[in-house]
Amino acid sequence: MGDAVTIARLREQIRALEGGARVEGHRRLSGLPALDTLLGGLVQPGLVEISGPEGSGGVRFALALVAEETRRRRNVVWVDRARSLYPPAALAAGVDLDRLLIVRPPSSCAEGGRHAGTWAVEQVLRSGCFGLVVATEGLDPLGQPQQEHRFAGSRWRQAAEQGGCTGLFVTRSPSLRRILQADVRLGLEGRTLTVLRDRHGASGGRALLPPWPEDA
Amino acid sequence: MSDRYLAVHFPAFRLERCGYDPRDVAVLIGLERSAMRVLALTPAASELGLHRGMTVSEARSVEPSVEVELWDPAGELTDRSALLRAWSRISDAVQAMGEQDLVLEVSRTARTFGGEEGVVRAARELAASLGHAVGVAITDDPRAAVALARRPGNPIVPVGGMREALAMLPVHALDPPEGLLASLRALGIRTLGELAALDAASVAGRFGADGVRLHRLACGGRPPRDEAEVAWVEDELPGVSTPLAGATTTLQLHFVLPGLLQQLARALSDLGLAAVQLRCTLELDDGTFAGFGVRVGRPTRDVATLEHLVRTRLATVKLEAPVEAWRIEVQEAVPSAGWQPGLTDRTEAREPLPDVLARLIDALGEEAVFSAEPVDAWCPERAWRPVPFALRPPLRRPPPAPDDVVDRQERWDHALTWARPASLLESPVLIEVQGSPPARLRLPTGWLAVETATGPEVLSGSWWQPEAAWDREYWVVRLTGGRTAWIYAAEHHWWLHGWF
Repeated sequence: MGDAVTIARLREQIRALEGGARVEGHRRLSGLPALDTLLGGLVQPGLVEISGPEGSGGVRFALALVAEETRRRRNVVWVDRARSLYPPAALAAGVDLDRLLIVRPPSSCAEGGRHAGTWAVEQVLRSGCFGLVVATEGLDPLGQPQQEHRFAGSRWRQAAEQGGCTGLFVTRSPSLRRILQADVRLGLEGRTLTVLRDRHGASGGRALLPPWPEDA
Repeated sequence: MSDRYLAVHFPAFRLERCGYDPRDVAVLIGLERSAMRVLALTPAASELGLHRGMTVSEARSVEPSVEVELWDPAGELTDRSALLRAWSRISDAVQAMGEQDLVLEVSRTARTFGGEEGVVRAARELAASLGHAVGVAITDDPRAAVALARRPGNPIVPVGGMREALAMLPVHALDPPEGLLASLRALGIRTLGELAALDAASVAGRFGADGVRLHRLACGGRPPRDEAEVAWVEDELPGVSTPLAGATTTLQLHFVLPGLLQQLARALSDLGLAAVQLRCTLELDDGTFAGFGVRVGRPTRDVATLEHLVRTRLATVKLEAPVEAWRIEVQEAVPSAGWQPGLTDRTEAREPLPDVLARLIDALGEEAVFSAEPVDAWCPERAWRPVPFALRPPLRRPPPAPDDVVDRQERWDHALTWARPASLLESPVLIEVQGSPPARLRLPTGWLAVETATGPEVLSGSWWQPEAAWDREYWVVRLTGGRTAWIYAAEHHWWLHGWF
């Protein structure tokens, strides 16, 4: 307990040195019963991470959240750094495609491509035009998770605070996890959603998501 | 009427904006040459022997009680822009010159303040209201005015009185190039008065163009016209340019940007136009050019909006060589008309969505920013296409009547559709599969066992065109560890096509 208090105090000192004002996030209902029961909603402003290997359901979970947002007639942006989002699946998940802006930065092997994705995420987080911004992890020319700039996480956090929105990151690699320092980190295995970390709440909670279409 | 320039010198702006007083002993620090070093300091700190470039520990060893402030570049840039806008109350021709000085062209506006004394009084009052201690000077040349504003003395130099006013100032007061300064000092020339006493021809022969410029200024004349900004109209579209004398950092470009855009906005206003697209061109000293386009979401000539858009693009520019000149041209404009936010816009957004889209398209390309539309095609990768994102979604048609026969058939067909993966790889990856149905598959990371395999879903098409025909047998495979993949068999090979 003493360590947690010390760490929180040190974080606050660092934030003050960086010149950032203290921002208190609040939770807003996401529309997904499992998530709202587990966390009280999505932290806003703030960063949420759903981590897991490809095919573990992270993207589908994000699409479910996007569907709820678009159902409420809100625009959502998906920064598709992995260049793999499949819109027919989004449609099948209930997403209103007219309200989904897809940003597909140049691949990392293109000139300037490596930083274009980082920049695009920051711009849409800061804009204040979107309540939810989803970003997937960039890939290098070998299809492996791209090495991210070490200040990317703090820049995205500041941008989310300025824009008053939630950034949802679908991650695979531990290195991005360390850089991101998300307020909430979720893990997905099968249909079980686990709270791996919640900066302003309790960790370890679990919830069962509804069956996926192929399980029906 | 000759041009007259008011210079305002802010000796402690960088710390005053952080809440410090010039009498406080405080320094601004930032990372420089792998250490935290002093970037700026208050006059009080300077008097105690602190100087730029010192490390923090060196500064504390000289003055243990020195207060240290960490540099916030983004905040400082914002405050500088606000400062420039505030000074447009005195003159609409405002330009930053260096980190601590502003120059305003006041020959046209002095009358409004009751003459140049009134301008000086208004400038001091404005600076005080903004919380800044300043030095001011008015003379015929902007650089001379800056040099005089940095020193105490009579702030108003009469027309033609520059030589006398500059005579006692040291040669470095006009910021000459390092090489020229060293040469002058080597010859024992310490003051501008001593420089002005030299013969012009011998100065040209010994010190070149830079020496000629400095000598002319010391003699009270104006340097060649190429130092001023230029505005023009070509094909009924305006442009502005300014020489930069070898700028090596984008920070120097940021300093001149507000003045350039104010000129451009004035030109647009004169023509009754609002800009839709700008083109910024940097002329480099190696003869090459660097440039970028700026698309404006909503046509505008608002300086703050244009400044924000150009600054964002400027942040991505890397200078390969020093910049000799900067040109900003309007490539597309429309007759100026008011813009009203739509009734359904979310007015709490910090930036209008059209501007965000324009900036993304500018930076990433039109093909990188889109919405998606389903296409009625069997081939999975052709089952959708990108379309421009509509700022206002189309109105929905009313749902069909419950007993509509066509609707019932479509719903039945939809229920038979197989699951589709959330992620579809841009290029399918060749894999190995064992067993039928698939029991093991080998990804680039190694062999994985298949827990369940659902399929086959047979998709084929273009059978009437042998070169374009395709035939695939798709399977949804759940792997150990809870991952679900979409794979297909075609032409005796297996491919990974997507992930659920």
